[in-house]
Amino acid sequence: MNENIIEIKGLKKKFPGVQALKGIDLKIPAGMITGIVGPNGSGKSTMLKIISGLIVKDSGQIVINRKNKEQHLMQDIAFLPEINHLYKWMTIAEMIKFHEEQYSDFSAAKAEELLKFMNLKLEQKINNLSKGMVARLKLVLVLSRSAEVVILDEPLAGIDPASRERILETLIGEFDSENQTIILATHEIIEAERYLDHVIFIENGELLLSANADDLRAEKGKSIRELIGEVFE
Amino acid sequence: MKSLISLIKKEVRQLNILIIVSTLIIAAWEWFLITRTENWPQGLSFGLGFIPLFFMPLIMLFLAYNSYRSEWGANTIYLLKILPRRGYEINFAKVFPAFAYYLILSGALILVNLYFHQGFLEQAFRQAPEMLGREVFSEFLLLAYLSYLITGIQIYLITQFSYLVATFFNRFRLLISILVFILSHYLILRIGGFLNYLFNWLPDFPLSIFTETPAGVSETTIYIGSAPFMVIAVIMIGLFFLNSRLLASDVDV
Repeated sequence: MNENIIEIKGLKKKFPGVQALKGIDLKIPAGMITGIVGPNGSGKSTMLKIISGLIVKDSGQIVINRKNKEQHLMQDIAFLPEINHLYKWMTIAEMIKFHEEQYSDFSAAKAEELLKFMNLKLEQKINNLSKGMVARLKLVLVLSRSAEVVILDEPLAGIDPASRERILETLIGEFDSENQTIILATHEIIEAERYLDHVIFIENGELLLSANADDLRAEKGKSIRELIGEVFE
Repeated sequence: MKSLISLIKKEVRQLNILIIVSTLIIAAWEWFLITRTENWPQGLSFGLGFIPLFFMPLIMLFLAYNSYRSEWGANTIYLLKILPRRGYEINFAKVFPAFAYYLILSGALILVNLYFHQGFLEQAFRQAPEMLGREVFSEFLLLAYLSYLITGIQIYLITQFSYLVATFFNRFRLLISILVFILSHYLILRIGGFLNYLFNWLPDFPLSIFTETPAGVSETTIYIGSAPFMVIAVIMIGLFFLNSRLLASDVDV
């Protein structure tokens, strides 16, 4: 695996009335869990959506695992968006089957194992699931793949604390640092902090900081949560 | 291939209700007319039997507009766009079931109507054997049906294009879609006119017409240009790939 799995140069994106990203230069290390933190509207989700091909960049370059983004199909990336993006008329079993048919790296056996751990049943209809259950299902779908890059956009948003812990434990339990990289954008930094190897601070579409989490804690003598409090206040 | 079939199956399931409801309505209408063939003038029930054909392009328009609007509305466009599939695969999975539905339902409707009005048609052929030969009738019917199919796919692809263009704007999407729809038709006519010259070398379809003159029955061969069919096919294929490209690489979710 390369030293940096993702390299971004001069990434810009403008929405009507707002410059969401103002020329971000960034390297995301391979085989680590990278946390992207920043206040609402800082550009975290926009950046992740551009990496995932959901939004078109205005300018800049994105190289994922030495492949230019333009040549990159989504086979190497597993993306979990913040919103519920699943077909509500499907059952969990149908959604699993759909993913199995679409992704060559999807393991139905692993999905069923994860479903049990997450207290979800195959016959449940997605429309009848609570927000927490949908969040758990989305995570099952992402973690059942062996994609090189796993991008999670607010996977803990709106989830009760007990479920958050369960989700993070599952995430870490399934993480294969030899072959995978996780990029996690979250507001729930209290729970997530201890799992992060690398942190990136973004505000107003600009990169404020990108550093190894342990080095940062040692250098500043503070937790990431405390640093976030200082930087974003 | 498995992934494409899976996408098509998903689309078919999403269209289920519309397919069932519209098929039932059309079947009920045809059944009603068939039961009236004894009481009504046969020409009347025969003519009325084709009425659903006028509504089916409108169904195609609805299907096309809804093809991506429903994905955007339910946020499932995220799921579609992150799939490791090319834009044309995703778009083909949308277009294929809609067109198959249009083709099968309209074809079945015509066949049913012809089958249950054989008596009327036989009578018409007997009354005017020189004017309306069976062969000529079949050839005209085939060409008319081909034009009808082209109209359906054209409406579908232009509507889809109009919706995708409108997604570039945050407001007045419906209005923009309508404007793009109208403009696209105009542009296709203009571009089609130029492209027509490129395909002039293609052989035309010959059609024999028999007419009764005081001197007897005379045969005239008329030619229907095949170039316009080729032009519209080229434009539709181009539009299909343009829509696919817009979806995969140009629109934001």
